[in-house]
Parts: sequence; structure tokens; C-alpha cells
Amino acid sequence: MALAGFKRHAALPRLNHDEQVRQAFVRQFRGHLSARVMPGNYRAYEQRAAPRFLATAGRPPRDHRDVRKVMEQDAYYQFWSALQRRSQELMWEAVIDPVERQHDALNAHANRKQRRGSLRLNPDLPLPRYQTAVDIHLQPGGYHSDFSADDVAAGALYDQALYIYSNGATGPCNDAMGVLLLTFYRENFPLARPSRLLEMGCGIGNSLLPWAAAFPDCETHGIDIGAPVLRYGHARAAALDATVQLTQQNAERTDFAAGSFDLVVSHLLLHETSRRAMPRIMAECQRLLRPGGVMLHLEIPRGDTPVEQFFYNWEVFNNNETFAQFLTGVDLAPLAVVAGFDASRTRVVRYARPRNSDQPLYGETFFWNVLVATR
Amino acid sequence: MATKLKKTTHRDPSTNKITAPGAGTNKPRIARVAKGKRPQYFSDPAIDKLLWMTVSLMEELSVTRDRLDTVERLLERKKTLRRSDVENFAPDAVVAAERDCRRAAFIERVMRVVQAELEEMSREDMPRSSEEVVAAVAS
Repeated sequence: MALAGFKRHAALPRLNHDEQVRQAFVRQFRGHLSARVMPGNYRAYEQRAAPRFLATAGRPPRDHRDVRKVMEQDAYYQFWSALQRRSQELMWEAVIDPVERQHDALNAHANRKQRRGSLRLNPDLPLPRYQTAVDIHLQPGGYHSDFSADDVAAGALYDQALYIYSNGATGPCNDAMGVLLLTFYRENFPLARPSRLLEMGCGIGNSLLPWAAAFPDCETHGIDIGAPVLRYGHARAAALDATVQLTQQNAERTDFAAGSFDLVVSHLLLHETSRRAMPRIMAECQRLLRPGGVMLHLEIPRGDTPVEQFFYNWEVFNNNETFAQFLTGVDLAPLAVVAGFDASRTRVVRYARPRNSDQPLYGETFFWNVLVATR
Repeated sequence: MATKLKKTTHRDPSTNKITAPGAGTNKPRIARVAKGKRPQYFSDPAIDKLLWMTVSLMEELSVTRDRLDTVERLLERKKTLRRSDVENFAPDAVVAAERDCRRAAFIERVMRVVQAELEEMSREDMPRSSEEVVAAVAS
């Protein structure tokens, strides 16, 4: 059995009856929180928190820190926030059960010789502190921890959890973000036919596979710091008949040759790095691209108004997305220019696609940010 | 009628030893708690813990209801019973009395937290403070 709508493939754990309905509960509970409880926070802010701030400070909240001061005292927000946090923990618990139950079999399956693609790990790669200081979005062990030899658990956990987290919005193959950025690329560069592309921070490769499918003659690479997600991703790609080349590397400095890629992309990578790492990653993109090559980073918006910015930062303080707070109000384009890209060929585009109300949402409208630059 | 309690046992395939579920085996355990400080949402940390438990119970109740639904559907498929038999089931007086009894015990169990507070307030021999208890055993 698998969660309704989620495509089964050979690398995923099988779910017994209770595991399946437990995951179904978590998904629906989170959907309920998003559609029926979260929107009330805006009302609590307008009716109670904002007037209280005005009464004590004598001025309206100026930024997301002001909003946070009053909202954290609000009973409605506190209760939603505690439930939202618990739902995230519950999600991990619900995906750990089946992985732990089938741990050895999952590892054995993934570590067989695969029919396609390649995997190159580097056990000596230093893990960046911004990945190990806390477990990002509460996944126990993060992307990088091995719980056994040649472990794939982190990948199997992430694959299931992403689908639950997004309430299915990431699609049956968890590839909706890759499809979205690919659509953007095709709309903006209709004639481009990359022969070599790289995804930075590819994890299990869920966003990389649509790129590989779109350009079958293109040499498709993915890098990540986490060995277990890459082992899993290698098996997952084969299970889904995709050919990708995965290596364990840090995006701040890779071992690929300068000017060797036509396209470098990332999907929700930048906000999980650090103040020092992010500019280095952009500089590395600049180094890796041939002249005329394209850099694309898909990112979550950080909100326009103080209250929106506060809600986008909920994951910062409650879901271990610590670095994301420093992206509030930050324009990524000038950072890319500092990293060596031409200002006239660098911009951040708001890119919106239709969505459902029971998918996670912190703002009143939703769009993605795409940092796009041409070398 | 006395039924003999059957102990559930697990046999580790690698060692062929019988073990309690999850205990004493060398199987790798995946971490269950994420690294990083968990925020406190309410003035009293006990409220955070209670909400944690409440949501987990919601989940488990939902799982049990789904499992019951599965059993009913399978029984119907195997023509052991019709689901409408369940819907139309009318308990006779004895069954109704047994159910009332079980339901009352269930409510009592869940509501014991209130009774405990009442009892603490009303019992004559209840110590008024922990110091009083220490005094009782220290001399």
C-alpha cells in the first residue's frame, strides 16, 4: 500500500495497514491546519495583536520582529503554532516507522548495482555546520546522518515526508518543483538545449528527474552533501527509469571543471545554507557555467508586509529553517552580481502557479521566486 | 471461560532468538527526535506536553477507526456480515446494560484527572503540603 495519489516505486518502503492510514491522517490533519486554522491567524493579528501593539508602543508594528513580539502572546497563534509543530513531528514519526521496519531490505535494494546512472560518494567531505547544527525542518538526522552502513534511511524518509508535507502538491513523483522551474526555463529560454546540467542540493533527486526526462541527451548531474539521500536517489532514479549522475559534493566548491555546464539549477537550496555559503554558491555557479549558460535558483518568497514576513518566518523559529530569516527582505539579484554575474542579465522573477487552499501557505497569495542569471 | 494468555513473541531472523519487539536487538534505530531546541508554546510546559499527547491520540484513534473500517469491509466482501447489519444492530437489554457499564468506566478513566483534583481538595487525611509529608517520615 502507498499513500493515495503517491506513485509507488521500488526504492520506497511498503506501508502496512496502520502505517498507511497513519500517514493519511497526518496529511489530512496538516491539510486541515492549513485550510481551516492557519488563516485565522491573520484575523487574530488584525483584531487583537496589532491593536495591542499600537496601544503599548504608540505606533503600528514596523517589521516582522514587532509582529512576532505580539503574536507570540496571542492564544490563537500559540495554539495553531503548537499544533503545526506537532504535525511536523508526527509526519516524521509516521514515515520513520515503515523505514525502520524494512531498514535492511531498503538498504540492500538500494545498494545493488543499478541499471543506469552513477553514484560517487566522498566519505571525507566535511559536512557544513549549517547542515549539522540542527536538523533542518525537523527530519531526525537531517540529510546527512547514517543510521547503518551504506544507509538510505534519510532518503526514504524525505521521499515520503515531502509528499505529506506538501499535501500532495509536489505531485505523484514529488517532482512538481522541478517541473515548475523547467516550465519557467522553457518559457524564458525556448531555444535552449542544454547538453550538460547540474542541480545543486539535489537530495533524493526528486526535482532533478524532470530535467533529465526533458533533455534525454543532456548529461544530468546532481550534487548534495548527504550520502544517504544520494544513495537513495541513485536507486530511486533507476526505479523511475531516469539516468542521472550523482556525486557527494558541497555546492560552495565542486570538483567540476570551470565553464563545463550549460545550466546550473537549485530547488529550495539557498534558504538552507548560510550567510557565508550562499554567495560562495553563486560564485561557484558563475565558475561552472560556460559563457551564455544559465543559473536558476527556485526559492520560497519571504513575504511583502511585516505580518506576511512574520508568518514566512514561522518555519525559521519552529521548523529549524534557521538561515531563512536572514533572507527576509533580501534581494538575491545583487548577491549574484557580487558573485560575478552581469547586472543587466540577472533578476528575480515572481512566478506563480495555481494551487489549492489546503496546501501549506503563509502569505495571502502565493508565488515562487526564481533567481535567474545568464553568464 | 478462562482463556490462556498468549504471549506475543518476535524471532530475530539473524540470531534466531526470541525477543521482545524492538528490545535487545542490534537493529539500527533511526533517531526519533530532531536536533535543535523545541520551542515552548504555552506558559506552562505541561500544556505543550498535553497537546503533544492529544494530537498523538487523535492520530491513533483515526488509525483504529480506519482499521475497523477495513475489517468491516473485508467481512462484507467475504459475506460474513453486511455493513448494514452493523448500522442496524439493535442491542438487547443485556447488551445495552453491558455497554452502559463499559462506557461509564471509559468516561470515568478519561475524566479521572478531574476526580483526582476533587479528591485532593476533599479528603480529610490528605497532606496539605509536601513539607508535611517530609515531616511525617523524617522524625
